Amino acid sequence: MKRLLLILIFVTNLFSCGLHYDIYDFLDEYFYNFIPAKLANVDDKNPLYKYHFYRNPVYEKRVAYYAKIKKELNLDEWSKVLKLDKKVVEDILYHDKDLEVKDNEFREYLSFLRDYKKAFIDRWGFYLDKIYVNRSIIQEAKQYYQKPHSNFFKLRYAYNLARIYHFFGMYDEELKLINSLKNLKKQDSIVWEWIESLKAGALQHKGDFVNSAYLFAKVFSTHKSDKYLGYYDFKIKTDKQWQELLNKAKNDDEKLLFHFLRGMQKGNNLLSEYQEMLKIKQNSKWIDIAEYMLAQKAQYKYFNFIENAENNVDFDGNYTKHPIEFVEHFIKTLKSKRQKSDFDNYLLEYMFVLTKNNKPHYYDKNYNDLLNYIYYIKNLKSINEAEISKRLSNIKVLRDSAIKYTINKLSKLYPENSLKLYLAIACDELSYFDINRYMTIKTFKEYSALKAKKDKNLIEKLLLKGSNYHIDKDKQNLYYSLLYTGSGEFETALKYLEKVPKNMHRFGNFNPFNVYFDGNNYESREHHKPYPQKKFLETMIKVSSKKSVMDYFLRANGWYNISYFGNSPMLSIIYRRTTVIEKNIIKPELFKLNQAKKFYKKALSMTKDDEFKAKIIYQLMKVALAKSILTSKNYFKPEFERGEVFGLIHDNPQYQKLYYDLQNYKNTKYYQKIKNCAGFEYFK
Amino acid sequence: MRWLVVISIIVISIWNLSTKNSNFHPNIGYYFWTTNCKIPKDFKYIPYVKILDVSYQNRLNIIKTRCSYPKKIVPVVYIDNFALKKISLNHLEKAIKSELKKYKFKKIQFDCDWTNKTKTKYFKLLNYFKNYNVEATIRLHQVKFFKQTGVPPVKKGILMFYNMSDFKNPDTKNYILDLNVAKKYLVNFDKYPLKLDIALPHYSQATIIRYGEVVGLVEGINAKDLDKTFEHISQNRYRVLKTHYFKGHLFYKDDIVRVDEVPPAMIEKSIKLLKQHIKNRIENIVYFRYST
Repeated sequence: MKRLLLILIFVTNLFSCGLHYDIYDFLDEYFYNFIPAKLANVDDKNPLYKYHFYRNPVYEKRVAYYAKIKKELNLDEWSKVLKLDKKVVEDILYHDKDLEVKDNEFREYLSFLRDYKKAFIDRWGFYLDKIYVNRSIIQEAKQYYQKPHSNFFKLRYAYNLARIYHFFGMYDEELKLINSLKNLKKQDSIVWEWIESLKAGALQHKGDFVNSAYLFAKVFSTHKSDKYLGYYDFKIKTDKQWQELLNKAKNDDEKLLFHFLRGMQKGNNLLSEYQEMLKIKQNSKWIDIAEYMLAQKAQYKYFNFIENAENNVDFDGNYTKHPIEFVEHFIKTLKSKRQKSDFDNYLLEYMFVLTKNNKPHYYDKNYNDLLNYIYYIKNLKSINEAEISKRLSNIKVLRDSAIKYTINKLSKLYPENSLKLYLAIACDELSYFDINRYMTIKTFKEYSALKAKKDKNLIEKLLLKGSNYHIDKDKQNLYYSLLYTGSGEFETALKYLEKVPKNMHRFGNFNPFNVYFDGNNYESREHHKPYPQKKFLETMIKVSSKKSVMDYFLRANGWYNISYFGNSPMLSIIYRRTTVIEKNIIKPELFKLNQAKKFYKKALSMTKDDEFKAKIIYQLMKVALAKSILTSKNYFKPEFERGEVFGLIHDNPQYQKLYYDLQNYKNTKYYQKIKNCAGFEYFK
Repeated sequence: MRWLVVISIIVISIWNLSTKNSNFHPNIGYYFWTTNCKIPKDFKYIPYVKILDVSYQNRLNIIKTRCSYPKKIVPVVYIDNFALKKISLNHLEKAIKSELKKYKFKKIQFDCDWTNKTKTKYFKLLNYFKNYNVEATIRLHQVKFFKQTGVPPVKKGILMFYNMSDFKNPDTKNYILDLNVAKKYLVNFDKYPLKLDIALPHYSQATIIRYGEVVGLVEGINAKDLDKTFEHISQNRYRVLKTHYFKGHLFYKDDIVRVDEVPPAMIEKSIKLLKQHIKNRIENIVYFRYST
């Protein structure tokens, strides 16, 4: 909060109020994650075990993950049975390629599949709702299934028919069909997994929640290709059903599995289920997985609420009065475990680093180094890049997360307006931060020097690599020319501009040496004419060496018009944000306005023409109002309602004095033209 | 019969208001929001029946209502934003028009909490139905910020005067109706270009707070439904004493349950308040929702 205010608003927004809520699904895609899946024996690539937000894309990504596995297993099976190359099978089955098929059964099955796809998929490739599907497909599938086939194809037709029954809600027919397939059981096939999942769903639709949940638990724990169905569709509705399900368990591990799956359902409490699990058994695969999920959540709560969030609101807009309450309950439960695993001990050390700032002591050197590094970065108050680089280079486990955590911390510690601060913010994967908007002559020079530096430390390498910031020579010269224009070094600006290809030169929309009645000096449409950057610089250089009233007036107009408030701001800045006045532009913009004021005053002191005096005073009033807007602490925005303008005028004695000075020229033609200016209403 | 008592109280209240102001004689309607819609044969009010529910939750769901009511209804089509993003307008138009054929009606109503991203598509969809007498539901913020949110191209809006608080804030007093919160939104009604009717709440629900966070909501729960497994701790808040299923939902030990209900007096106050702000004559008051 003590530095570049708006940059920080931008950054903290990413963590606090869901500004970009569309773009993240799984926490570890963007954040640091210090929960080692390896210690919990969990597959960290499996999206079912990643802490996530309840969004459609999470489900879609999980389905896509298993669709890939399903496809691979399916192709393996087809290519083995048909003795065809996997690629050929894929082209035929998945890409509908019209290749020559010698096997008669396969040809017949493909013919059925064509009808099947046609019935269910619309021309855009979406699955249709049942109201649009012709029910004749049921009869067709039934006929195909009833024909004599080899066991392999019989099972495939059976699955397709069961799926059609399921789609139309014909659960009795579906279950009858599935139960009749026992004689095909000897055949080892991935299709059994799909049939079993269909059966679990049909039982649920029939109201048999106990057997359905039992089967879905099996789907989750044993299936390779559609595990996610067990995860999502496990449902119990009453205490009686739950008790029956527990009674059905063949061993304690099955009970643990039921608790885990129940805890994973949306709205349920995995921590509470985990506490129940510990009453059954202290160590098990399911306990490790539950712990892994809970630890990710505790970590998220800590970093999001404690370190980053404002007003205790998280990504999903969740409030919490006691952000650490969940974490405390989790730690308490972990501590209460009688038989602690290595994973438990690691988690406790990690949680104590986060919540109690304890120095960690873990037996494994690599993990202990990591914990110590987290402790070090967490407590970092000032930056010593060499020391951080040295420590970071020793991290052997969860290194990517260590890097992300480091960069995040550095983005809060680098001094304001520094290149490294910008690079650190740009390294954040959630950030759309555009460095160019903040670059100054100083930071451009620092950037060139950093790129050319031979002995870069690890942090510098990470900042350059992670931020992906790159600017080519032409653009850099253009930006230099703009920034030197803003600082009044017109010859230097021109020197740089001459190195820029002409098609990259900037143009103003109006003549920057003209002024009109409105604050921005936007002329009427017929005056709208592109004004070249080069011509502006040449004119400013020319008038700077002269000392007539008109030269001073033109110089002042030029300065005003290249300011944020004038008609040609793009001739002196890289980027202009119209919705908000960002804090970093205040200093350079005040400089331009003060230059304009200086030369207007010079011109005013020299002229004896009342018409001209009225015009200059009016321009000085515009400068005074623009300065008020820039420095107003309440409004970081460029457009003001009338009431707000009055407020600014009220607090601006300079503007008021100029207004009363202007009254001395009431009889001029110029005054008559501007007398209805909106701001003047304040004085009525 | 409990609902009948509540209806009677509310209707009497409105009648009282009417007698004080002879111009105020709104028609009374009820939303029928379930898939299995059973409208009583002697139903005296206007049934607003959700005939289609188009949503996208992991997959596209178009749920049709089973309703065989021989008299006129007001068909309501609910569309959620995810579905609006996914589904083609032609597909949607076809689904809606094919459903409408089943009913007798004079006007239809669309319900969608559109966002900036879905506004154009939603308004375009409404235009597909411009030959019908179309109404659209309007949320309070859509009046207050109508320049930003847009005004749907329909003949009339129906202002939803409920669910106005911050659902995720554990300190929310009553998510369904809180007049102190509502007052903050009663802005720009004088400038709002659509004529408005009003929809008022007639339901209850429980909000579940766990480890200081709102984690869920269970509809249809009244304070008097709660048994000994819920300990009363303050005004409308209860603590769950043991983990158990209640009305098909799993409540965990130590969960805090906030029961939100709307007494008839609050409905009466709401109508008075809205009459002060809505510039047109309120012709219809529709209660969300009918339940047996």
